[in-house]
Formats: sequence, structure tokens, C-alpha cells
Amino acid sequence: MSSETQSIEGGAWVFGDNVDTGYIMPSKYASLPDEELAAHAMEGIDPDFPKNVQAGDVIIGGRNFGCGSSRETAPRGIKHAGVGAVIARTFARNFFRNSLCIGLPVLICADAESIAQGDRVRVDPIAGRVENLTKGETLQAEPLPDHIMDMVKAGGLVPYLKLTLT
Amino acid sequence: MSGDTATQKILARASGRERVDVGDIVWAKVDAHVMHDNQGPFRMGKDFAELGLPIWNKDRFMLTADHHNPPTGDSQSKVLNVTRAWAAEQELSHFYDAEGICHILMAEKGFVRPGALVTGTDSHTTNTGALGALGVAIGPTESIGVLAKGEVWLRVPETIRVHYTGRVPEGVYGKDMVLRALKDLKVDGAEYKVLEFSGEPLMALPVEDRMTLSNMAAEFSAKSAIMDVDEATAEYLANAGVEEGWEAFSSDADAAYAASYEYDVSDMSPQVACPHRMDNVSPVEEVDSPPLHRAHIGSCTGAKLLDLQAAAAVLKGRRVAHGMQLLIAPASKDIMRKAMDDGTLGAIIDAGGVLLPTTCGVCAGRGPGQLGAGEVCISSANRNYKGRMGSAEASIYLASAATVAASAVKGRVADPREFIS
Ligand code: SF4
Repeated sequence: MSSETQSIEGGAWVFGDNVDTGYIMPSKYASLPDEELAAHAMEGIDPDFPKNVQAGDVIIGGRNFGCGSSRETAPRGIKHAGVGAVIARTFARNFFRNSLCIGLPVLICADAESIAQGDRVRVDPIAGRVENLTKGETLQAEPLPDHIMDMVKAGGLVPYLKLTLT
Repeated sequence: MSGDTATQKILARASGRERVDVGDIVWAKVDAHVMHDNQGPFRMGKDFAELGLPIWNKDRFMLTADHHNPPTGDSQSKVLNVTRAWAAEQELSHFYDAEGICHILMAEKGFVRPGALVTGTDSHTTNTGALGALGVAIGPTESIGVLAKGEVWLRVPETIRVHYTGRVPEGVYGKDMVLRALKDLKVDGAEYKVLEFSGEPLMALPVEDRMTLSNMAAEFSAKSAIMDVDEATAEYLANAGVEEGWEAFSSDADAAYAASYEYDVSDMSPQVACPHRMDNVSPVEEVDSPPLHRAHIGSCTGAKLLDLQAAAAVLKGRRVAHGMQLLIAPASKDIMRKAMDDGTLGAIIDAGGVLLPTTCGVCAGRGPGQLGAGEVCISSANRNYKGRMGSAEASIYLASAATVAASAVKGRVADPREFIS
């Protein structure tokens, strides 16, 4: 397991259904380098998010989280802002794949909506376990195919390709 | 057992299997891949270099500089210069710098063939469906995998069938047909699924306009889009220099669909997506818009030659309303050249249209013509959520190029049928 996927724990930020990547990372920041993306994470839907998010915090989405443009700056921005994982009832496929590729854990969880804004959450992406420490509940995420888990364990696609191709 | 969808057949071929079932995860060979400046070397160049592997097949890979081109400031210049340097360093044979928008160039340059699996670092890679190819979007990091291996993993998706019947009335275009379906299916209606468009009126559309439907499959959150291939497709391909080397696949008559929708287009009105959602669609006669500031004919969805011609037919001999501006950005240089030659551009410019570069521009929220706070725009592009074309306090209506042109003349969302007869 890479260091990035160990012990993710923080507060929950809850957003609704169909959160477009245009809200997660507005188009106008498309040409910013990675380091500068963090300051604008989720700005299109919550302008205060970048200044209030803490390392290890977790984003909770409803259905179709990350729909719209396939921009990788969306997961990159929230990852650089310190977000440890994103949990949603369903994800748009581009956001889902992009996140796994860059090593941002994303978990599909039918009960994601039981988590409320500000709840303390601990996530184990490898076990697919989401603990709501505030409510004392444990949720189980949908299992992912083996080859994807191998990539998650490696910490993303590039480290995985380094292990397997070079 | 039910028959197979065209998508299953394409993925079976691409993964070297006899057949595949919905839900199977396959490793499939990629027939063509496209990457652009916005999701390209600037994000993945370093990581790709670290792997130290060559590009799997340079004849099947296209890189475009279309999203940040021409640049409006430092950060965009940087992205472009990184893109150009990478293209030179990799000795790419297909690098197109401000020549057009990636999806249209892919079709025009013969990269898209029926039965092919196409990947691209852009959500509208679904555009390939109009040529019978399965186009799926991936991100720049995943693109590293495709460039290194020429392969991608995919889950074999369900298909939703959207079938059109009747005759396409005057003033109605592919854009109206796809917006009508989007109204019902909604922006998440095809999550993880392929949209298969079919029916006589669809196949009666020129191939370029069929692309308007496959392009906007992305707005349904579809994984891809697919259509049948016919003589018009073969002719389009021949013009793109593709005479052979492809195999068309159709869904079996007894293929299983996740859902089916049917629309009789005979009485269909031009459709308009109102702010701020792509599925907030109404027939044009029911839209009572505030005065408009901007009309935009551009993007990979709405600036093909036939879009410009439809706009010109409305605008010829008329003037853009006082207080508003019409921007026009042809989707490629080839389209711009043809529109120059046949008088289309002249008619638009004489009506007051302002010509912009053949790149994404306003559609990507970049370049000149972005919307300011409180401004209202009508566009032939594909997305209208808040902030897409500039200020998050602007409003965007989406419609066909003809409806955009009619609205430019009236200064409010207007019905193009009043202008064409
Ligand atoms: S024209 Fe618009 S939708 Fe098409 S590729 Fe460019 S930014 Fe994307």
C-alpha cells in the first residue's frame, strides 16, 4: 500500500447529485499547473471550500458525481487540496477513472448519503470500508475488479505501469 | 439468448474475443487515440517521459492544440509551448496546431473508421459514433497507458436505444433531435451506457449533422454513442481518404437494450436548452428569453459546414440585432475554407458576425468573447452549466446554429422557421 492510501481520516463535505466537473474545477483554471489548482477546488459549487478544507477530509457525492467534461484537473485539484477520498452513490465514469489513475481513492457506496456534512469519517480504500466515526456506523463500498485494485494499491496508474512495464 | 449490440461486437473484435457480454471487463486494442493541449503533454508529459517508453503507434495517434489556442495569457502560452515542444520531441506525424477542434479533425483526417475503438482525452470523443466507431473518453494520465500499450480496459456497457421516426421538418436539425431526447433522459440518463441513435430521419441527416447527436451523448453522461453506417458514411470516409480497412457493425434485431426511446420528428419544433442545465429543454416557441448579449456559433458540436450554412441561410441579407454580438468560430480550417469559398462566411460576416479562430475558444471558457456577469448568450455548443463560457453569473441557452442565428437577428431566443421557407 502506498503512503497516499493509508489511514484517510477527516471531515465530510457533502454535495448532491450530478456535480459537474465544471463545478469541481471551473474551465478557467484549465491551464494552471497542478500546485495552483488546489486553491480553486470545488470553487464552482462552494467558493469557501478551498480555504476550509483540511488534509484528509472526504467528499461525499450523490449520484453521477463528476459528470460533464473529462478534465483530470477536477480530481487533481481536490487531491492537491488535501481531500483524502471521494465517496458517492455513483460516479461519472471519466471522473472515476481519472481519480484512480492519479491515485485519489474513489469509493462507490450505496449508503453514501447517510453521511452528513461535518461527520468524521475514516476510509480504507483497499478494504473498501468507510467508517462514520460520528454516527458509529460502518459502510461497505462496492468491490472493484482485481486489476483496478492493483492500481489502487500501487498508488495510481503511473506507479503501477512502472512496476509492470518497465 | 438475445443478440448482440453493435457495441458488444466492436468490443469483441477489439479484445480478440468471439463475443462479449454486458458487464464483462475486457482489455481492448485501441485503433486510434487523440489527445489535446488541455489534457495532454502539460499534464502527462513528465510522467510519460519517466516511463521511457515509445508511443505504441504514431500513425494512429493525433495531438491537437485547440483548447488554449491562440493563448490569451501566460498560463495558456505555457501549456501551448509545452504541447508544441512535446510534439517535436516525440516526432509526431499528426500534430495539429490551431487547425481545428480535435473531434472534427479526427473525422476529417480519416482517423475514425466504422467498427473502430477510439480513445481520447476528451468527453466528447463520443463524436466518433456518427461514423460507426466506438469512442470513449479517458484522462491524460490514463492516456499514458494507451500511448505505452495501445490498449485500454473497458467494461462492456449496456446500450440505450434512441430511435427516430417520421420526416425531419424544415428548421429542425440534429441538435434539436438530440436536445429532445436529453429532455427526457436527463444529464445522467445514460451513465456508463452507450447511446445508440437510429431511424430513418437520423440516417437522412448528413453525416456531419449525425455527429451533433453522437457528440452530445456526453451530455447524457454516456460512455459512448453509436450509429449505423450507410452510403453517406462511406462517402464521408472516402472524402477523408478512407476507402477501405473498416468493418461496420450493427446491433442484431433481437439485441437487448437497457431502455428504448422513440421520437416522431415530423411535428418536432426546434429545441432550446435553457440555463443552467443541458436537459432543461423546451420547444423554441415556449421559450421567452430576456434580451441576449451574445450569440455564438462554434464548438465541435455546432460549427461544422452545415451549421454555418444553416446560420447563413437565416442571416443572409439581415443584420444582427442592436446591442448583441454574433461570434462565429468554424470547427476546422477546412470548414472555414469551404465556408469562405461558397459564400457562407461572407453572408454571416455581412450580417455582423465576428470571425474567431477555428478552435474551442468560448466553448472552453477561453479566448475572446467570454461572457461577463449578467450576460445572456445563445450558443450552438453543447454545455450550458454556470461558468462554462466565462462568468458563473452569465446564462447560456443552447440550440442549433439556425436557432442561434435567428436569435441573433431578433435579439432574443427566436424561431428559425420564421426566416426560412
Ligand atoms: S469545442 Fe467545446 S466541447 Fe468541443 S472539444 Fe472544444 S471545449 Fe470541448
